[in-house]
Amino acid sequence: MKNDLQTEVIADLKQRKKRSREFLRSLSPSEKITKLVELQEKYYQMLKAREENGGRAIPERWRKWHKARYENV
Amino acid sequence: MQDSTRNIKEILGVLEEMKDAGIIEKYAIGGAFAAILHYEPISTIDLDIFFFLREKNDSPILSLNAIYDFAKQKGFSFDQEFVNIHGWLVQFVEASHSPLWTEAIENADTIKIEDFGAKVIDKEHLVAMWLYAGRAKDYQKIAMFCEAGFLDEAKLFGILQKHDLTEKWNMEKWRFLVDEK
Repeated sequence: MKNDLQTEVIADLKQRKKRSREFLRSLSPSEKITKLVELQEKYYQMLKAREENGGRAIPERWRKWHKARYENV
Repeated sequence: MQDSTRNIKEILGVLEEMKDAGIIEKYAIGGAFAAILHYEPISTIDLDIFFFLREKNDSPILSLNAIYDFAKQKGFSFDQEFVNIHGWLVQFVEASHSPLWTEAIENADTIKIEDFGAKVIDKEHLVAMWLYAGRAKDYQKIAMFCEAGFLDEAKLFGILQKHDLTEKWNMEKWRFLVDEK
């Protein structure tokens, strides 16, 4: 059973998530594209950190993405 | 203007060049990128372009050589999956063999990216295409669109019926309709 603090924290997180998604949905198409690029960068960095710390290798499709974005090949 | 937006506009410019060069006919943005333009940013590595080749050969296997030749001329690198256009992985999907994809291109919305009107597959056709594809990530996107509450249900069910997808919708809807779970 959840205690009051847990209930409060979950409600707060839900509210934050709702606000964050409302903000993302309110963006113009070009702002959404910019956010997509930020998401891609963050996701790639996460995959890279995982690999560097002995976890699963960066998936081939993300390697291709990085190569396309930074090596222009 | 942000670099990312400029690059997308450059890609759309390249697609217009391909049209002018007689390589492709109509085209529209589909997949996750279309979902982003209609709704909210989600992670994707590529930009899916659904299109019609202008000249098709008689072979039962569709050849995208005309696109690869164009890419070579322009100095864009490519493999069997993607063409790298200005740093974006672009996947070209020839659509003429599928009545659903054909209809999706013919009925694409125009979404303004700054001053450029981009052809983007409309929400209801996207949902039908994701349902047809039926992968977990497709159902996630359907769930996202259903949750948004912005689908024209009459239009969606008309598309599903026309393309024999009503039964699949009824079988799978528990995956993406909150009330069905």
